[in-house]
Amino acid sequence: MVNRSSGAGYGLDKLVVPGQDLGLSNLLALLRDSFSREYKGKLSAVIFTSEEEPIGVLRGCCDEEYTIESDGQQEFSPIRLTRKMEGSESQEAQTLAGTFYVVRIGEGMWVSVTIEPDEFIEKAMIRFFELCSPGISRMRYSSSEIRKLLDSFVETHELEAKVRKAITYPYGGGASIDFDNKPLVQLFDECTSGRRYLDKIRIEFFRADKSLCDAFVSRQGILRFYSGDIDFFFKKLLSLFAGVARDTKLILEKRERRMGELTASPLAIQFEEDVLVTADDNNRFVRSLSSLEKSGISVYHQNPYVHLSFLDFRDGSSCDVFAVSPRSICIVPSYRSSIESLMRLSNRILESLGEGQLSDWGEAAPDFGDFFV
Amino acid sequence: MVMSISNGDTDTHPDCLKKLRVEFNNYDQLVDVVSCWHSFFDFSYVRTNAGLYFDRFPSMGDNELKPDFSMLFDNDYGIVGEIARSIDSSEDVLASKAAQLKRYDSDLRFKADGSGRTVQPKIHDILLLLHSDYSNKGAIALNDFWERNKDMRPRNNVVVMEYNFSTGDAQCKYLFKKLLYEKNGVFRDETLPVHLQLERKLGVEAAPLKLAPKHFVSCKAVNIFCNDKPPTIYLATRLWDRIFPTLLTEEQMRVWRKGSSTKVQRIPTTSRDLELLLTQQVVPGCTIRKDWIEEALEFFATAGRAQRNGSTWEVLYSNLRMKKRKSGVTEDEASLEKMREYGDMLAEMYCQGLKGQAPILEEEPAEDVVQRSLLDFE
Repeated sequence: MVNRSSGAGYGLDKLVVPGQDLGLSNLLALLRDSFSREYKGKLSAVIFTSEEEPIGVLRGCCDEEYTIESDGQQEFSPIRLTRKMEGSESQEAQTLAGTFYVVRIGEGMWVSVTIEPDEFIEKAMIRFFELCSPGISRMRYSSSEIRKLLDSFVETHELEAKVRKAITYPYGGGASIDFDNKPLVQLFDECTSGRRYLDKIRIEFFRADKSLCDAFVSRQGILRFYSGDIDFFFKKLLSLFAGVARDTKLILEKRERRMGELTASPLAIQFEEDVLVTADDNNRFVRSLSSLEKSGISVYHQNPYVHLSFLDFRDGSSCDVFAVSPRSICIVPSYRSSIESLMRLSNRILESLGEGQLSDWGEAAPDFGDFFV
Repeated sequence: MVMSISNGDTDTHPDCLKKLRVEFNNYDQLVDVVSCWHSFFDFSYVRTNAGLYFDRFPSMGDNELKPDFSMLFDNDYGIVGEIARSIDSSEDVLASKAAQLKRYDSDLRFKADGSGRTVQPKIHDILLLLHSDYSNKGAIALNDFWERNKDMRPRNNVVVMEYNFSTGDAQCKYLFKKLLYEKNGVFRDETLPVHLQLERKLGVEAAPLKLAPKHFVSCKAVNIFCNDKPPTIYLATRLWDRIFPTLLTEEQMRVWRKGSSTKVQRIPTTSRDLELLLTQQVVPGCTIRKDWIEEALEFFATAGRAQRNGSTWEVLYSNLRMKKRKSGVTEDEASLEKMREYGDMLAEMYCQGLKGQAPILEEEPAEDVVQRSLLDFE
C-alpha cells in the first residue's frame, strides 16, 4: 500500500530486555516462563503505532469492561488484559483474559507479542487496541505489499517458499477462496489473474530442503510464528514487515487540519490500472465505503468524479475522498485524522477497487499554460 | 446526495426529495466552479507572485455587494466574478441581473490578503459565468436589454463566459470558454505579464480554460462553501459530517467506540456558536449567517434530529442507518431498502417529518462483526 523506497528491515535485531543480554532467541522462553503453562505452538505479533508509551495509553482506555495489570517497571513487562463481556439475549456473559508483551521496534512503532489463543487476540487484545485509537493505531498491509515483501524475502535469503494455506477475496467483495499447498508464485499469479486480493497466508520457508520457518501474515497486521528458527522470524521476517509499517506511519501521521487555517495535507492512492471508469464503478465504490462499520458518508458528487465525506465513529476522524481519475484517489483529512482511521479507510478502498499505492498527494503544481486546452 | 446510491424508483416523497436534490446538486456545482477559479488563480498567479488574492467570500462596497468571487491581480487590475447558471429572458429577470452587474460598476475595494487589507485597483472588469446550456441565449438577452437600456450597461467591461463539465474524453474536467460575440467585453489585463494575460488566451487565442478535478478538489475540501446562501439541505449535511463531530466530547466518542454508533448523543449548541465556529474556525472568512444556521437547525428538528430548548438547541447526533420502503410496497419487511448516505437520509427524514411520519431507523450492532477471523483460519 505504501510507496516504499526500500524493503530494509527495521530495528528488531535490537530487541533485548534492558540490562540483560537477552536476545530474540530467549523471547519465547521468557513468554513460556511468564505464562506458566504449556506452549500452544504459535506466537502472535501485532504491529501498531503509538507516539507515547503504550502502557500509558492502554491504562487510559481501561474501564469496567477492560482492565490491565502491569508493574510497568521494566520496558519489557508482561501486560495482563481482562475483558469482561456482559451477557445479552444472544450471547452469554464471558470473561477473556490473557497476557501479552509490548516491545518497541522503532520510533513510535511497537509490536505486541503473545502466545494466547486467537479468541483472546481478536476479542480482547485487538478490540482493546481499537478502543485506544487515536492513541494506538494498528497497521495493515495491502496484498501487493505482502507479495513484494515475501518475494523480496525469499530472494534475499535464497529460500524456497511453500504456501500451506491462504485465503483470498475478490476485489469489491464476494466469497473467499482458500488455497492449500501451492508455490508462492502460483498463489499470487492466480490472485492477479482472478482479480483477487490476499487476506492471510501461512507460509513455510525452506533452505536446501530444510524447513527454516513456518509463519503467518495477514493484511490486518498480524504475524505469527509456528515453528522453526524464531530468531529468523523476528530478526528477518517481522523486521521486514515492521519497516513497511513504519513507512506507512510516516505517510499517514500528522495529516490533521488546524482550526482557523485553510491548509490541508492530502494523500493519494494511485492504482496500477483503471479502476473507476464507469458510473457503475463509482456506485460500487461509494457503496463499499458506505458499508464500512461505525462510519458514515455524505456524497457530494458521484459522476463522473466522486466526492464524498467520510466520518469514522470509532475516533471522530473525518476526511473528504475524491476519485479524481480512473486510477487516482485523493484523500483530504479534516480536523481529526488518526492513522488507524486512514488505514481502515484506505484498506477498504483497496479491497474495493484493486491494488494501489498510498503516498503524499504531491501533485506537481500546474502552471498557467497547463490550464488551457 | 448527488444520486441516490439505492436502486430503483423508491422515493416516498418525490417532490420534496427532488427539490432538495436539485438544490443540493446545483449548489455543489457552484462550489466546484468557484473552486476551479480559486485553484486556477492560486496556481497561476499567487504562487508565481503575479497575483495578490482570490476572495472566495467577497463583501464589497460597504458590505452590500456579494459577488461570487473576486480576483485582485495587482494594484492595477482586478476581476469581480458572478455566476448565474442561467438568465431567464423575462424583462424582470434581465433588469434584476443588469442592476446587480451595474452595482459592481462602482469603485470597489478588493481584499488584498488574508488579513483584510483592501486595495482599489485602477481597473476592474466583471466576469459573468453562465452554464453552457443557457449561455448564448442568456448573453444575447442581456445584451439586448442593455441596448434598450443603455444607462444600465456598466462602464467597466462585462466579459461573458460559459462553463460546463466535460466528460468527452478520458479526463473529466470543467471547461470555461469566452463567448465569441461582437459585443462581449474584453479583459483589460494589459498590465499583467503577457504570458499570464487572460484576454490573450481566452479571447485572442479562444483557448478554453480547463480544470480537472485533481486541480481543485483540495481547495473544495477545505473551503466547502461559496458566497451564495447554501440550500438548507447542503448546510445541514455539512453540519452533520464536518461540524457536529468537532463538538463531541471524548466520552461521547467512547460510547460509539465501544457500542453502537447509532446510539444518539446530545450536542447542546446555538446558531450563534455554530456561526462563530464556521466563520472563524472551519472556513475562516466564510459568510454563513446565523439565520441560515437557524434554518438548518429547524430542518434537523423537522427531521427528528434536533430539539429547541428556548434559545438553545440540542442536536440528536449519531451515525445514521435507515431503511425506506420501495414504492408500491407497504408491508413486506424484506422489501425495505437500506439507506447509507447522509444527504439522502437527512432529506428523507426531513420530507417524512413534514408529513408527520417517522423514519425507519436501523440500529448498528454494538460489536463489529469480526472480519476474516483468525479463528476461521486454523
